[in-house]
Amino acid sequence: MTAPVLAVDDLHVAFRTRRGPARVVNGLSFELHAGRTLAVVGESGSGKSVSSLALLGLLPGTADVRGSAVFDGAELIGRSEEELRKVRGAGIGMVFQDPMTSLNPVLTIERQIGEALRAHEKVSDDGVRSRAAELLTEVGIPDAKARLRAYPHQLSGGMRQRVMIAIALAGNPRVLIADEATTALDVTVQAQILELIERLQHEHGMGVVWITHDLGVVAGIADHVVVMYAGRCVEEGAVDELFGRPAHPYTRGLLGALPVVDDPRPARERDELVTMPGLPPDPADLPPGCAFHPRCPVRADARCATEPPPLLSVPGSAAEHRAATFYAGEVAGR
Amino acid sequence: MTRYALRRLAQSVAVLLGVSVLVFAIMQLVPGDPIRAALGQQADPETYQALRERAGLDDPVPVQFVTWIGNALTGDFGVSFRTGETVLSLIAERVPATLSLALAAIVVALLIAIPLGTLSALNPRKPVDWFASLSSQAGLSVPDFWLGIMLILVFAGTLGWLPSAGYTPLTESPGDWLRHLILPAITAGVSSGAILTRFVRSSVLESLGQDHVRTARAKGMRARDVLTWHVLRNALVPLVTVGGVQLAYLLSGVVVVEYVFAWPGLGQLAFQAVESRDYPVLQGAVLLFAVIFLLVNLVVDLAYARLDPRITYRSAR
Repeated sequence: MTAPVLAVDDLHVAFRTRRGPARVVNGLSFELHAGRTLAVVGESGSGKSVSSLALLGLLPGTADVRGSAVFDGAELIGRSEEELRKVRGAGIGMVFQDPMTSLNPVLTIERQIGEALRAHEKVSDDGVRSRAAELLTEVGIPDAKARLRAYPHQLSGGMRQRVMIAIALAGNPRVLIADEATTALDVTVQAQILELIERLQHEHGMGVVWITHDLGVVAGIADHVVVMYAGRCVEEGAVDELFGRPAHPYTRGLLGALPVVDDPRPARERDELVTMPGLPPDPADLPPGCAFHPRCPVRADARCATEPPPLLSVPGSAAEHRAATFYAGEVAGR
Repeated sequence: MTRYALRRLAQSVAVLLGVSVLVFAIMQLVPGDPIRAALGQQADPETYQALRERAGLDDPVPVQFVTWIGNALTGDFGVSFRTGETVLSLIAERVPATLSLALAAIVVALLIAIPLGTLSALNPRKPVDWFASLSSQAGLSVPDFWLGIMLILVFAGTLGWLPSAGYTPLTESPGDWLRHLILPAITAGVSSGAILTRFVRSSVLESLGQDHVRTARAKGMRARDVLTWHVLRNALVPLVTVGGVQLAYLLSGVVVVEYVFAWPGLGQLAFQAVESRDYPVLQGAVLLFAVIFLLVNLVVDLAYARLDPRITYRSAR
């Protein structure tokens, strides 16, 4: 296989707080190949968004970032602001959750796309206008020329997210990070945006990182899935394998919390929706051992409470299906 | 937009009418006899009576009001009891001085507030922020007259760089106009600057935390462009309101500063009118201040729509 376009290795992010360091990301590793889609899944607060912002140096000054993230052969962590700036937009594009607040309400669409075009090369005003119109057409916005003069509040939520995608595409990035990019949208619009990004991914050969808490989205589009809990990857693998034989109790819990629409059994025989008891741990006060052990329904023995389980291949699965639990074989075998 | 402006103008006229009734009523309640004040105690009774009649002070109060308002509508605000000049000409000759001082002071205030407030928002709880908050506290606490006197002592007295008082019209000598303007403008601008600094700080801080600022950075924009176009540009919208109020306040004459620097502005005119119970001048001045406030507010509201496209003005049916 060719070298990954983005390789994150043992990434740590801690925020300095008055109560001591809040360790939000604790040794995250993943690889993304060109043209492939990686989904990063987890509850809010599991460190998904923080990891992606850390790659581009977009976290506030109170964040300490350690580890390695190699993009296109070059290390990102610890690089200067100016070097990172050149990667932002041009190497790695980002689409954020809420297209209402992620666009500047007082600037026109043309201006905001133009900024992305001008950030990395000199473009004339006419050049900006025609390129911006092309981008809008590409993301499926009709009557692009007229829309350029619009302000964000004059567009619908789905249109705004298309504009965000146009902005992310402006620098021709090799990697697109979509951070909960469909979460704030209506379900029908969600589907359109998913389709759009898949199409663009094919046309541009981009690697896409989908950050989401929505397993339904993951099932539809991802090649490879990373499940995060308390800033750590607890399970990863090809999407079919991970959904078919979840090996970590947390992944199992997440899947159990997903309603099965086409369950053939009559309603009263169906499994009830499973909810996971408890809350994710406080990043400033992580439990020792496995961070999930206080909530773990499978087993929480002395070893789980003292020794963090390493991320190891799941017995009986392909090599890249790995889980960080001492009971992978048992959970997957159920 | 035009309809909105017209409607606001009509409202302003109504407000002005209210203000004029109020002003007139207060004048009636103020103790003291203006004619006595103008003539002094030794004046002979005939002159006194003649002047009273000429000023219409013997008419019933409502008649006096209607006469006054009717004349005011034609631009006739009466004649000063003290000098015999028309109120309009008295005010008109003060306007350039006040305009110079107010505009220069708001420039000083913004030159202090925007850099200091922005720096302190960019470095919260750092030394710059402490310094900014301390100096804005100081700027608010220091009385204008004290600051004015200190500036005069240092820059006019010890150093001898600038004149201590007085005003030269711009049309006469731009250089002299500027030299005379610097100290009073700083004195009047500092307290407005202190108020605006805090405002800029909180406004920029809020703006910095917006999602679209993160988007701008994620595009790969240079930090300076992000600051200018996404942080300051958006922080400007609320600043216009507070800045407008400060400008209106400065335009209606900063009495103490004008007094300290012997600045022949509207504040001084109003102050002298109070001292000598010069009703026509005082009424005219107060009415003018009301007009200034209404106009500045109107301009601010219209500027809002220019700065923030989400705001559109529609006339209510």
